[in-house]
Amino acid sequence: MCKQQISDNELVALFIKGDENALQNLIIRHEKKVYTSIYLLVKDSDLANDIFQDTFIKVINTLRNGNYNEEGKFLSWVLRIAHNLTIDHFRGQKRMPMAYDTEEYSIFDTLPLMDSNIEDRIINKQIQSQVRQLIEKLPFDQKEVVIMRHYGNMSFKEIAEATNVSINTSLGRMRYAIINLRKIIQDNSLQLSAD
Amino acid sequence: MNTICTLNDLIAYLYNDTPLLKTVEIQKTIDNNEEVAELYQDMIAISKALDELLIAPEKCVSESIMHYARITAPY
Repeated sequence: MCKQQISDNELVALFIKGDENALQNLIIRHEKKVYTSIYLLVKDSDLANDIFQDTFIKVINTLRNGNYNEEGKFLSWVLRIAHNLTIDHFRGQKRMPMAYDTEEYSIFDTLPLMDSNIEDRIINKQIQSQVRQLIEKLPFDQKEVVIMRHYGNMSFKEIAEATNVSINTSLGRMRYAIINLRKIIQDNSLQLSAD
Repeated sequence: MNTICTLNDLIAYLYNDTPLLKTVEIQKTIDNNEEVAELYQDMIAISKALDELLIAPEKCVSESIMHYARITAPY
């Protein structure tokens, strides 16, 4: 049977029964979304890797202890754990981290690119770099909603519950994020589409 | 903007988070209002760019997680 076609909840059930390959499949399936969501908040690759590892260790322990009772999406649940661990980190620090990529090296340089054409690769790289910079300019609460919606596939209702605000507030934060991004794009005459 | 379509409505529509009747209303507004249509196209482009921005963790981190899973396996 091809495990790519197995649902997340089926993989979870297999892992609880002792199939470690099921866990590996879950990690491979979701690692980029989980890691990106952490990285965009903490802006430090070492710290993001640490929180990513802590997130999945918590996932493993929770699954084995029989405390996973999510009827819905596995990814949303993992994203909530990652989000809580990130917030715990900020609370421990009592400030936002101030870590940035160096000019010589950016973690975005390691992004896999889909197009084989060199020109497309360059354009994609520029776009990814621009998008990263744009997201970094957003206030934390707007960035949080963008991450949960885009990388956690969470509904606005789920985001509202995870962040203890109303659905209208989470919609409003996304609205401000998108409008802010649009304004920054227009002010800087940026072109997002590579088409 | 048309009074039946707020910016929050447009955001919810962008993310397929509107009930059917509202979806029809918003689609009509987009079809009939150039300003809203232009804004919506920009929103789609931003949303697409955000979706494509994915970074992988270091391989050794995933390996460490699997190692932890193996050494703590209760079976």
